[in-house]
Amino acid sequence: MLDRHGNALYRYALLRLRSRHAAEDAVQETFVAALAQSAGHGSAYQGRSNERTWLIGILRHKVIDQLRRLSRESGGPPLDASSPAWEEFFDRRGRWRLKPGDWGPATSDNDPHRQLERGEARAILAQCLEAMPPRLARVFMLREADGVPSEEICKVFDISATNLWTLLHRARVRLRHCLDSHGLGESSAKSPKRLT
Amino acid sequence: MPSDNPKPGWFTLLNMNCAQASQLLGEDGDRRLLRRERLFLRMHLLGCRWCRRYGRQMQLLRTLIAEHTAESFDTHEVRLSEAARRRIAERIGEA
Repeated sequence: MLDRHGNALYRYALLRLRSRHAAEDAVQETFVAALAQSAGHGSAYQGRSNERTWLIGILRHKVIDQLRRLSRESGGPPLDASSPAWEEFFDRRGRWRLKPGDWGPATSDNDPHRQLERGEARAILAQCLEAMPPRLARVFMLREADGVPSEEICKVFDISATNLWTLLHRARVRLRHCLDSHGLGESSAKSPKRLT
Repeated sequence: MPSDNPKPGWFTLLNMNCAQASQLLGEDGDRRLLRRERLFLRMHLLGCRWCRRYGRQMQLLRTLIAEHTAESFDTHEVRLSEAARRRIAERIGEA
């Protein structure tokens, strides 16, 4: 079981936890829980149509346990709300300072939909997620990748709804800008007239 | 969820700026926007090509993230370390 699923489970956990130790712990706890469940139901995995899906179902809960632990250990909100880098994106009156670059229309090799087909967009996304501050990334992935309800995320990280909306907004704006600057689509600075 | 998310007033919405509009565009996928939020967001979008563009890009971003998440299982670049594998194997009796 470990050979068949260990690496995949680890990748799942690492993408969400951004901590090797926490990801390893989550995987270990998943296998322990899986074996305990199997012992309680007779022979292992019988009747389970998809072993991987079953394990992921257990891992999701273990990842959330680890996120709760990491949040407690780090203390405070997942990201300082007064991060100065944020001022780079909007001016004092809330207008775009770094305007969104052009990702379309679908007329060139730089069109993100074509890049998506070639896998380039996903490679850029992986780099940008990697560059996101870990505490921010944990909140963001829980919401965007797993669709965990906002109420639950607030409980896991012990933050208010307002704080959560702000964090998600910052994560999205940063990520979008990172995709721009790593070559997704074309920069608006290069082609200001190609607005759609 | 702690209820510290007061409903935005009309004045705030009437003077909606890009920071607020882009936040609402993101929240549109997270929660059900109030009718007045939706109305003033639409009005802002009519006059702001940057926020219209941002909104479209958020939709594509969601597609990208969904694909990235699904594909992350198949990449072979990230693997459990040998030490972790041994530790887990010992713990579950597969050593």
